[in-house]
Amino acid sequence: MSTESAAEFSLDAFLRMAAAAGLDTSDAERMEDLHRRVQMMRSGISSLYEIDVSDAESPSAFIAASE
Amino acid sequence: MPAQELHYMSAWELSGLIRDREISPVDVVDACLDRIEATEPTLNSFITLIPEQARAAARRAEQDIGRGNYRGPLHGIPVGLKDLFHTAGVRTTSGTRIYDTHVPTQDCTVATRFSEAGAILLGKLNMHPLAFGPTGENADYGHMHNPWNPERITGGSSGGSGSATAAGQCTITMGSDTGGSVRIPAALCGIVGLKPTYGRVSRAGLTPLSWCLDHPGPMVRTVEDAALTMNAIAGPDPRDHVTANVPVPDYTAALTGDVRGLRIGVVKEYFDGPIDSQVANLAHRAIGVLGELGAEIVEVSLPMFQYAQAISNVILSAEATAAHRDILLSDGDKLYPQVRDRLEEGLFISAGEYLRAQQARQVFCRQVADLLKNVDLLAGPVEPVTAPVILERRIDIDGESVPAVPLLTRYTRVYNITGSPAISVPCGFADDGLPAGLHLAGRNFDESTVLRAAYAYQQATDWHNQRPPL
Repeated sequence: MSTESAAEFSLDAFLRMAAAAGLDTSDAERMEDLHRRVQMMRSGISSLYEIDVSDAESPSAFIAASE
Repeated sequence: MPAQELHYMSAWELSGLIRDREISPVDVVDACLDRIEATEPTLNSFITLIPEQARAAARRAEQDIGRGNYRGPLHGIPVGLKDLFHTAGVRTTSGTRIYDTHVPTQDCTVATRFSEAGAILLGKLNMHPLAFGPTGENADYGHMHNPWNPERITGGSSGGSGSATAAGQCTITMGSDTGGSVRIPAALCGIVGLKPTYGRVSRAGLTPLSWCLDHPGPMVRTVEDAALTMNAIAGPDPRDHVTANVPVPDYTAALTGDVRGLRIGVVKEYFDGPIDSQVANLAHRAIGVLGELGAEIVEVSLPMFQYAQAISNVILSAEATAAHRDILLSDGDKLYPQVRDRLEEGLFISAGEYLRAQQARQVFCRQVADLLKNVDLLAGPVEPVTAPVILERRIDIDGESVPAVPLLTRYTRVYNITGSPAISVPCGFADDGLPAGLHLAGRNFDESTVLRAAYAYQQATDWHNQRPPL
């Protein structure tokens, strides 16, 4: 999966990722529906790449222990 | 004995009577339990009720107060907690049968603070499963029903908190707000819901949905009760590392009724649609009332608003899936289907995309902070519609069919992204007889100004005194 943009991916690639993520991919109809929803979600993600974030550091939840 | 029904009296009203021993906490708790018995078959607000424990606690409170050990305004006041606030010895399901037998051994910090204040827990409130949805649906424990029309949603995810408060089942309830889950049911049920600043109220002991977006907050019938509740629960907590070491004021001091000198920005993008014209008019009229009371009303622009859904979706989905991945993989088929779908979607967000959303969040926050340099508050509607029909997936607005979930969170998510304090205060009814909420948001850790304006509006209107036909 690209980390530079929210590119779409094929059903085959999606199924490999789903299996790697631990999902049961045996229900083809269910997986096709999930693939469709994930593609919709990813089109929303692509809009984040329209925003200039060059001077924005992602906040980190890590806080160094002081002792 | 006051003429008003005890179950509809505010904590503000009850507290003086309890302190002066004109009424007993036992009477107040019994009144709420009677109200629950009468209305619960219609509303389904609760997952777990603990009437005997509540009555025993009320008797203890009565004795303590009788001995001169009055703890303060919440002593003897009946409260309900959304069923993701962990309570020692009382099961906490987080709205799913997967956790049906989960009984925590330790109270969450909010429950501890309520207990220290002498409040009396009546039970645990129904919610959208895992808090992952804005409608108040729950197949495991039954859907929640809006007191103003039981065929309509309460809103969610703190739907039981909304219905219980609106119907007089509890005096104070608590919800949690990750994308609007306090303010959405508050608006749709016609009550007051305050999402405090991120870090103002401890999340310790709450089942997480999104660590960086979750905000616990009070759901009450009046702004005064929001202030009283905040006085009891706000402040740093060593159990929650994001709570801020910022002084906590007496929030009731902000309830002056005076908004002269305040500048209120009306975000023009909030009215660009889709929004029901009646709801838009109610919000405009409410903002107009604040203007008539002496606030300066100005129009402002938030261009980043168009990215709010994308930023929130990515952060929320990724964190929710991280928080609940184990049960998704082990018990996914037992989850509410829409919740399972959304958790599965989160598996396909990359680390890079999550961090991109967090960077975009910073840009978004800067734009809102810049606006709040020139105005004290931002105003608009909480919801673009009144409560839809239960299980309605798309909503028709002036001939346009719009998906319900993004529509219901359209305005609320903005202030989860920024962490800003934001309130929903009742601002009238549409022709369908359902309530709407005015949305006021302020600078971080300035809940006082939010409460000040909300109280002034409340005092100038009568919406908070309207009761559902139950």
